[in-house]
Amino acid sequence: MITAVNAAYIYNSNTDSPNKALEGVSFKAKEGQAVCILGSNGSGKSTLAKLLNGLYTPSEGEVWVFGKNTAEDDLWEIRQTCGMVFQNPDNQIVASIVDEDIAFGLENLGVDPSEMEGRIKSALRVVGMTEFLKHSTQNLSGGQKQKIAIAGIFAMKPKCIILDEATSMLDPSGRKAVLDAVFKLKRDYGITVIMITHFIEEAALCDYVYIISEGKNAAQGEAKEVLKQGELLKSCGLEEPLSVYMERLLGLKSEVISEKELARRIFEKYGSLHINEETEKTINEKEAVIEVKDLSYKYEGTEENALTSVSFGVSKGSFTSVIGHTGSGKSTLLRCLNGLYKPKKGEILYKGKNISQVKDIRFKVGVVFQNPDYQLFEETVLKDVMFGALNMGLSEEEAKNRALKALSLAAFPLDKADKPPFELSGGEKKRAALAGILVMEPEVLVLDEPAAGLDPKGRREILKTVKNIQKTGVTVIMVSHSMEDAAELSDYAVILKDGAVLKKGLPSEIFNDGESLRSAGLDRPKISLLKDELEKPGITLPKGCFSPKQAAKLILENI
Amino acid sequence: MYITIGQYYPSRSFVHSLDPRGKVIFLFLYVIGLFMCRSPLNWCLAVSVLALALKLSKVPFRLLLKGLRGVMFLIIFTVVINLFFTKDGSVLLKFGFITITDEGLITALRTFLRLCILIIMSSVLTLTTTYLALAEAIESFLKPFKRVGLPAHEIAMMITIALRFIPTIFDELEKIKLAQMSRGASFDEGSFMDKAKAMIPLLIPLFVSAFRTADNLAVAMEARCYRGDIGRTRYRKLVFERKDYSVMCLGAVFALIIAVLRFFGM
Repeated sequence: MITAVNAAYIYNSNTDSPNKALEGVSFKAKEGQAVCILGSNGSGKSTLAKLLNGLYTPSEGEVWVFGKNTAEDDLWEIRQTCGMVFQNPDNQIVASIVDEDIAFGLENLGVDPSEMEGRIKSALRVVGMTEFLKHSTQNLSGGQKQKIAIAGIFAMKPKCIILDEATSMLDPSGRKAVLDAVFKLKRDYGITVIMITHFIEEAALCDYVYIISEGKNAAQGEAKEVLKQGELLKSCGLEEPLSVYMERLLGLKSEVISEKELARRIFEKYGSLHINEETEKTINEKEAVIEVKDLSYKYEGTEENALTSVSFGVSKGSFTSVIGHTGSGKSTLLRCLNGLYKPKKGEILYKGKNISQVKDIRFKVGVVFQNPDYQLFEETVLKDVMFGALNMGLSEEEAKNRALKALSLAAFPLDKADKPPFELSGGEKKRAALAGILVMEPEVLVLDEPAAGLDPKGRREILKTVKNIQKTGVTVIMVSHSMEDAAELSDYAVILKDGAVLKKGLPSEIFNDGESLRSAGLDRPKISLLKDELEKPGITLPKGCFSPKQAAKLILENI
Repeated sequence: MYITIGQYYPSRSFVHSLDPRGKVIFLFLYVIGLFMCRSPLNWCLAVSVLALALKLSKVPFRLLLKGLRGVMFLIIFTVVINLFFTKDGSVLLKFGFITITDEGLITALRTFLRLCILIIMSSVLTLTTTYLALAEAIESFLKPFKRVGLPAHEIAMMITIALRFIPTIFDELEKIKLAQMSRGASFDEGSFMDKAKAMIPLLIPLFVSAFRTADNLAVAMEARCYRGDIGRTRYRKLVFERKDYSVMCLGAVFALIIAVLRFFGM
């Protein structure tokens, strides 16, 4: 059993600006249970996780791990019973070869070398990666790296495994593979699982849920009891499960249920109805602002094409989503769009002109990279945002005006414009990076997973900002791993698979097509599944409607 | 830029199966020989040994050439220095302040060969040896100095981690460069000062990211019960076999032959 009693933790406690991350927190995980610690970014949930395996010791209160006190007993022994998988797959792999990396923990424990090979092999078998024994760790996907990390912990024979947002940097199929591996450890070996996350669907897999908000316990209880409290989840910066959200809007009893059951209950209350008016905009291909024609790209020193004969058009003022699994070529495609990479074959047209002949293409097609830390460098946010404008040759004065405009368009809190970028929260950094591109006033805004790593509230807010930017007339192209977001926001979508276009079309053609999505390693959005289930008893909603809010509204309006 | 140092090429070749300590000693001896090479006969011998190593390592030559390309600038720079600043020998070409002598040309050619062979042979070592094995070798070489307070294990671990993260850091640098280029930054225009200034938007994010990585890695290692050299066992025990002695001998014989040949002016 792992317990925290009235635990507090203070960062920088010896300095002038101590920062209380946790206060009076209680926690309990029984042996063999899966317990979720749910909370928004900055809620203190990761700090709690680090208390639970003795990486930190509590400033106040006590933490007990299988009968040992983390403040008094040997931390080395505590960590042995309680392994931890971290968020960033790259920052926890020590060795270049899979078996050597798994051996690292065993070596630290002083395991007899003759025993190691057997333990390494059986650990790899458990996570389903037997054939990777001698593979280089560098070329694995994010999901595979996390599975190696799990195997490395399993080999140490722990009683408990803690996942500290271990799936937040993975694509949907990688996330599923990691969760499957972890729950197998729970099921087959009785290992206690503690999962730190802000994904509601991951919390639903657990037996028990703790919600941490602003460093304090906000709620606790059985998963299905906690997750049905929609208002509570929202007030903690989280999202409601789809069923709870729909039930609230439609006046049904709040409960976490499957799409099928939800459809049955909606039918029971409202009976059959048919709404056939299409809400979807049709796309005018002739007004293309960007046209990708037969584009192929190959990285130097590789055998296979990263992109093969990719073609699609982006019409002016539209919102286009590019979806696909990790390594499908999405990022490569984005880098071609503003001429960072030169096509090996084919061309990209900007308003009918090959981009290699368009002067200042990078100011016209603005690309926002996924990780804001890769671009923020100046002393203050304002100066950093001005960088792009100054590169355009604008005067200091003009650059400053534009920067302020860009910051407010990106909904960045202006009172923080004089702060160093490194002091910002994750969401604020994303906005600062976005403003750094908007300052060039591009006609086309290209975004690589703008919401990656943000909690549900931050995610909603930044996507709203992007949608607002589109409304000012900017054409948006967005790469996303979340089918829900892509389906709801876009006017047009392109599925990439292994560097080629698998399918392109209107959201209704893409996001209801389970077969294509699955073959590209993706999934249908939940709302699309719900619409299918609703159709069986006789409630038809427009094919292009992917907003749960709009779906509920249509049902209520048409009864 | 493509860097082969810090990369590993998985295979089951003869060279892969050798003890890392033997390989390091061989490389050391080979390099001594290489720096004594002067006559065409010497060079033939050096290249033959290199060819043998390549054959037995099964590393694709392509990969080695790519590693060479990464440092080509450095090699050419050294060669040019040799070419222009050797004043001995008879003058072949005089153009303004540039003088090229026959002696200079030969020295330049020698330097070029020497550096290329040196880098290819070192790449064979790093491509066939995982860096953990390499670190173990370094640790065992440093072990005798442990008694005088040298932290042998810590030094080896530091080298291991540095090597592990070289490709990661280059990857990050590339991403940062692309991100800043998207904001209109350019890195190869203007004077030397302009170029130096243009590095700031690259280096600051790189350092910030490197420190964060280091911090995260330290926590992850601690979570996996790492506590330095206390009570640690080794997954792969290094065993020196007959073949390892033979490889070491090959290195010694090579250096010796070159020395003898040079002594007799051959």
